[in-house]
Amino acid sequence: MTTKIRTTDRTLTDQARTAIYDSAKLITKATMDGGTHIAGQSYWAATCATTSAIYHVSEKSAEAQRQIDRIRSLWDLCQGDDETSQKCINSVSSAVSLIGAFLTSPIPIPVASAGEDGQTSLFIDGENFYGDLEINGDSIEYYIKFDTDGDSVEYFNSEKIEDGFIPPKLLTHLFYHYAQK
Amino acid sequence: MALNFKLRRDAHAIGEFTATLAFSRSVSVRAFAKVIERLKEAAKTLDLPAQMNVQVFNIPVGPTTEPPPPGGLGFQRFASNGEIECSLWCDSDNISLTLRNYDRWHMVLPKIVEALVHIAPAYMAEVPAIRAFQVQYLNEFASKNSAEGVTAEIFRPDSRWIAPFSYSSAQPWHCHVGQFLPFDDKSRFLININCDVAPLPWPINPMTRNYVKVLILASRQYDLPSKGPLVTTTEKLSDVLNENFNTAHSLEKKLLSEIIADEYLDQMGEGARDH
Repeated sequence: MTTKIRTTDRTLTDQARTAIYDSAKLITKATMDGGTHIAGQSYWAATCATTSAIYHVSEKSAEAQRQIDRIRSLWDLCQGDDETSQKCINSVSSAVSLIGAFLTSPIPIPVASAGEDGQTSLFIDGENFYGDLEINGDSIEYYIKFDTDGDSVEYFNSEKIEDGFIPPKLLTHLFYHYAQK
Repeated sequence: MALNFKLRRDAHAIGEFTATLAFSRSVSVRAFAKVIERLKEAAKTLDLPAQMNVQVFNIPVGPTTEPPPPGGLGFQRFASNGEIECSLWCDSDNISLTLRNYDRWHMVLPKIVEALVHIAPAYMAEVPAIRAFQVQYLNEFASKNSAEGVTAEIFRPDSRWIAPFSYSSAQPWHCHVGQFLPFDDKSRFLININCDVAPLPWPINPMTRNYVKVLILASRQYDLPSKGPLVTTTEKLSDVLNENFNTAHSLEKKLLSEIIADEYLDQMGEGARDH
């Protein structure tokens, strides 16, 4: 897939998009420094414009970007009274951060969605794995189910999201399933 | 038998020791920023004032489009003779503690665990999965009286880790073996043994001596293709570190006893002949 990056602005999604943009920044920096950068099948020389670059994005990065765009498009829903609005903003912000966290893990990118109550959710339906993660402000309530050799294991829990990282117990469960492949 | 070679230290031959905790994958730039915060705190506790600066170049090859992992950072302390006495280094997927003032294992292990327990949670916020627990010992010997001493007396003649026609040579020689060894159904051992013999200036007194280095790496690896890494939690980390580093250390002692002759093992102290 080919994506055109023009400029990077400091919006809410920048935190989660760091990994996506890192390649583009490297390319831009190399161009500005008069150097070159090789990424995938593409090659940039010093003649490239300094504020834009075309680069190859991995499928996972592209999927993360799609889900971040999807959740950002629901931003307009966060228009209630102050308390509801703030909760909604926090839920969207947490969902965006978590999508970024999934990007740097062995776990597939979840599908993001949001409701009018200001709650966002992430959904994973992978091979022998099902996960439903409900985000409310900066806390996450989840149900996950693994199938291993015909046996099902389920987990329910609620954890706080800190610094945009996947909460530790949830992360450990996911790694048990995905890191051992 | 009179020994013609002396050990690097008074009570043992260890010139350098390194313990490494390796995670199953690199953390992101964002997580590594938190690693650095914790590294600085651990460096302060260990009294490591000097920052190590290393220039890293990333040259991607093939169709990968992931951003390069963050470069490493470390801190160190110098001894009065100019040697690096202790250093602590963090890379995007591992933490290494290096000691040149190695004492005894039961004194060193708590230092390793304390430093790693402090820093590792910053990695585990993204990667709660460990690939390897490694210990590496550099054992050093130098001839007492001349630069020509034949080093065969240091080694076991029947050692399976040394090339049979090398160890008795009067000429400089090098021998290397790296191998995986089965351990249990979740992990395996990786061993790496390097022996070097050459006339060199002995570090303490700048006189040319026949100089012997035996570098032994013993690593407990959680990288079996069908099993994957060791997934753990910060609550269990201290126990996990103690168990796995003790296992790796026991293997290293066993390897040492299969390489070094008994007369020298007797000088190297603390159960070097236990195996």
